[in-house]
This record gives sequence, C-alpha cells and structure tokens, in this order.
Amino acid sequence: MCRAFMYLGQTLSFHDLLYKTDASLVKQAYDPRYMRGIQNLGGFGMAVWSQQFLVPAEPMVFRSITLPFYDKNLENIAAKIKGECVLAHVRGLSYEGEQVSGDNIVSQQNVHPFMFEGTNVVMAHNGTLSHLDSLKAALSAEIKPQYFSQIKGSTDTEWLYALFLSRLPSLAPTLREMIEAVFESFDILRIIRGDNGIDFFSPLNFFITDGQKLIATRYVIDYGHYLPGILDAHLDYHSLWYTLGEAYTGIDEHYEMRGYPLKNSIIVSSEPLTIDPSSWIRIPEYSLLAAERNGDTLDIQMYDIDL
Amino acid sequence: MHNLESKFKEIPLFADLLPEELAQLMSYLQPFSAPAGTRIISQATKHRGLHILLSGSVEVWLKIFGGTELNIASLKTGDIFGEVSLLSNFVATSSVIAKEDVTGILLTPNSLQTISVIYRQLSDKIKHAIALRCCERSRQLLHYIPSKAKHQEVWQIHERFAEPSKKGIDSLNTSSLREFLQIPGTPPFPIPFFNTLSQDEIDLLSSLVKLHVLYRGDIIHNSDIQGECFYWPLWGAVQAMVLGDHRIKIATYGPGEVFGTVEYIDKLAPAYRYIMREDGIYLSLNKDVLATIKERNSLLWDKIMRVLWSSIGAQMACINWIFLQLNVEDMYQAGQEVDNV
Repeated sequence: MCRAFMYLGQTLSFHDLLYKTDASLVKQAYDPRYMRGIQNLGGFGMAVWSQQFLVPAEPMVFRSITLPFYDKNLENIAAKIKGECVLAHVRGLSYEGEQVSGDNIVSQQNVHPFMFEGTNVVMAHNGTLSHLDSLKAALSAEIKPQYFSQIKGSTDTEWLYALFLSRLPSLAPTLREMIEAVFESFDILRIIRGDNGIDFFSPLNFFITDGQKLIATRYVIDYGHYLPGILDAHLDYHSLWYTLGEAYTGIDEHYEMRGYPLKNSIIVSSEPLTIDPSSWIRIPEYSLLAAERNGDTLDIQMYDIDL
Repeated sequence: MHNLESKFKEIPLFADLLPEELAQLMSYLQPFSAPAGTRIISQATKHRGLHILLSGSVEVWLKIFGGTELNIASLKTGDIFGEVSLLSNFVATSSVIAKEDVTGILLTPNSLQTISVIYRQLSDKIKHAIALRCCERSRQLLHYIPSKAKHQEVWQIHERFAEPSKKGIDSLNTSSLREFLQIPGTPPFPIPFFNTLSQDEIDLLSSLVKLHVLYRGDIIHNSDIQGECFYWPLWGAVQAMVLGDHRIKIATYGPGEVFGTVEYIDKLAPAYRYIMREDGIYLSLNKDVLATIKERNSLLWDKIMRVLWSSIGAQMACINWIFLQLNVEDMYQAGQEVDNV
C-alpha cells in the first residue's frame, strides 16, 4: 500500500511531478495503476531540499491528512518552490466499509515521510510489517533510546525508520553506511520474525534520502506466504520503477526524463509518473537502488538483496 | 476465401492446420486496412490481436530507454505481428507502422476465445504455435544479452542460503495436494486457478502429482526442466535469472504463477536459473501426468494449458522489457553483490 517517489538531481519545480503528469503522485492517491483494491487517502507528506532555503542542508517537511487533490495550500506551496531533492508520499491503509481497521489510524503522526530530531535522513515506506504488535518488544531492544522516544504514531513505518536509524554509525552517514544499515535492518527483521514465529508476507519498499543521496528497496520478506483474508493490494510484489537522465521536463504535456545517457537527475517511484511507462525502468524484485551526487552527476548502483 | 486459405498455408504459424481447421478459422477473422504512415500498434498500449499481412509492408519500431526509436524489423505479405496478445494481456512492447498501404486480417483474443469453445483442438494448435514463436523470439532477444555465464555467483548464493529458513514450513509439509489445500490458512485463496477446480479435478490432480518442498537458496536449473516438467508454486517465491556478464533478473513467481514453461515447450531455451527466494511448496507437472489428465479430464487439461500459455506470453513480455532497458548499464550491475558493499 502507499505510493511514493524520490527525486534527486538538477533544480526542479515539483509541482508537475505532484499534479501535472498524467499519473502524478496526487493522481495515484485516488487512482493508482500498479496496485489493486485500495486507494491512498491516509495523508500526504513530503520532504524537500532546496538551495533556496535558509539552511539548504535541512529539508522542509510537510505532512497533512488533508486529501492532496483538495489541498490548495499544498498546491500553492508546490507551485512556488524549487529544489534539488524531494521525497513525497501518499499513505494507503486498509479499511472495512467506513471503518478504518486495526492500527491503521489516520493522523498527522502517521503520515510519511518521517524525520526524527538529530538527523537529516528521511524515510517513507510502501508496504506493511505484519504482526507489528508481536514484534514491538524485540524491535525495542534494537532501537537506540534517542530514536525510541521519538516514535509518536502507530504506524509500522516509524518503527522501521527507528530501526534503520539505530544501525547508522553517525548522524551524517555515508551512502555505504546507509546501505549497510538497510541490510542490517532487514536481517534483524528476518531474525526476530523467525523468533516470534512470524513468516508472512511483509513488503519493505523503503524510500530513504538525506538530500544528497538516496536509497530505494524493492523487497518483500516472505513473499508468497499469505495470511487468510490478505488484501488484493498485497498479492502482487510491490512495484518500484526509476528513470534517469539530464532533466525531467514536460513538452506539450508530454513529460519524461530527457538527455540520457547523462545522469544528472533520477526519479525513483512506486509506479511511473506517466501512463506511458516506456521512459521508466522496472527495478527487479529483491533489489536495492542507491544514488549519490558526484559533482553535477549521479553515481547509480544496484544491489541484490539476498539476505 | 479459397485464395485466403492458400495464403494461410504459407504462414508457418498455420502450416500444421488441417484444411477443415483452416476453414473453421476463416469465419473468425476480421479484415483490416491502413494507409501508409498509420501506427497500427502503439508501444505501451493494449494489443488488438494477431495481425496477418496480406498486402503491403510495415515497420516495427522499438522505443528504448532514453527515447531513441529503433527500427527493428520490416514485415511484408504473409508476416504476422501482435501474436503475444493471444496468450497474455500485456501491453505492446513495440510499435508497428504501415510503410505502405496495407491490408490484412486480424484474429482478436475474443475470437480465439470463441474458437476455443467451439473448436478446442484448433485453438490449442494456434496457441501452441504462438507459444513456440514467443519462445523463439525470447531466444532472439536474449541473444543480445551478454552470454558469458558466471555460475560462481549463483553458487555463492546457494551456499549462503543452504539452511532452511522457516520453522513454519514443516506444518505445511505434505506431499498430497488434497491435504495441502485442506490446511487452514493455505492456498487456494490467493490462487484463482485452484478456486476454479471441482472436487473431482482436485482429486484427479492429487492422485497424479506429489508436492515438493524447496528451501530458500535451492536452485532449479533449466536442464532439470527442459522438455520434462514445469513448476507451480503453491506457497513461497522463486526468481528466474539469466546468467550473463551480469545476473539478469527476469521475473519473480509467487503462488499460482507457473515457471519453467518456456523450457517445457522449447528445448533450445536459454540458461535460466530458478532461485528459491523463500521456502515453498511446489507442484510439478510432467508430460506423462499431463497426458493422463488430457485423457481422463479434458476440461482440467484445458485449464492447465491456459495457465501454461499465459505464462509464456508473460515471460515473453518480461524479456521484452529487459531488452528495452539493455542500454541502461546500471540496471545490470546486480553483479555487485551484498558482499561487496
């Protein structure tokens, strides 16, 4: 569930990515094309890094439970700012009739992306960690106190974020350290799930960035191990795509990344931001994509997740 | 119409059809025509069906990542295109543009569905011929992917994964399909196929096949499959890879998504490896079992073959996708394993 995208590259207005492309993130809130049986109406959030900000290294974080397609404030803000990096997310959560089920509470505390005090590393998540309640005790032991105390909401993602941050050796991690922290987090999850007898499908598509580098994972622990009553949205391996080039531009309403093989800008997204996917690349299952600024260009790497 | 039938006999796809089958087919075909310059099929849109060119010529254009459009083929009278649409509902992976004024005939997926109800044998022959053609085309596409195998990479993974990972798998461990389907909380709920089976069909299938447990890290080589059997995950997940200069991930199969079907019908299929990503329960179907099913319950055989053909179409589409992205070298740096991080 959920949809998200990250952008890293040349200075860009994010208004088009959020609103104007024919499969923009805001449209994915009510009409996702690569997931079944659920909409993403549980809140919108974004973290933006811009050289125009007073402190460029720190992102502006916007999180709201207002439906983004009705949120004029969001649209106005999006039209006015440009930046070099953004992580945006619309939250999907299950519902039974009119009642939101279980711990899926709609509140601002549960809206992604998450950014704890003391770090500029931001994270959003597409997926769900099944049986979170059964894992909280074991997870708590793996989370540093300074991050544990900042868990305010009821969503699994905030716990996953705290687990990931606790694996980082410093407040300004390198890309390598961030990748290792992701793999260590997945490893810990496998172990504590096994210890607690939990071996059911849990998609862990992470979107992580600090404004200079980004990591995205396409990974499902225990894919193919289903619970009765599983949602249609969870039957498929959660999707993840990216596009790469000099700059993302729209010409005559036709948006795509242009200028490849230059690698100045990248978008990683739960699904293509255009109906025509031909300028997008499907990231294979069990993979991690990492990108980092290197002057004006980006270094891109792809790793297999074979824990 | 007689002239049309004789033209059909020249098309390899229909070469094995008997005269009476050709006559049956004729009434389900629709004529089409397009002036020069018309985009008959647009990449990334829904296919209309199998097109058979009777006059004129067309060009096949492939838009690859980065926006470049490549002219990859010219087709003339007697050639066909759009056939994958008869096996799966994937979007078109290339565009077809009329180079001259063209005429032809069209076999739509709906028409083939109707044929399959009335003339089952004819429909089977057509689907089998198309599946073979898809396999051939997959081979052609994979020919472009570097073929220098690095077996060592795979075996390193195998060693790392050697221990079974799940405690719970034992509770599902039965060799009987009937017993498996009766375990609370197991499929068939996520597998539409098994929901369509009658009790008689489940009983027949159960009497003929045994289930296997495969563990995370286990590998099935296509040489184990070639022409012999294909696999049906009921629980767990497997990922297909092609080994070249880099490992190339083709697709991941979860419960209900059959794999090994390309090798099953194409003895020349490339060197796929199927790596178990999760512990799982698998049903394998071999030629003898399928022959028995065909003899004893043709409806069940139909259902199984439909799944098989559909999976070949899906795999063809996956390989097409990879081909489109071949020039993005980063995609294929999967060889940088976790060990190197």
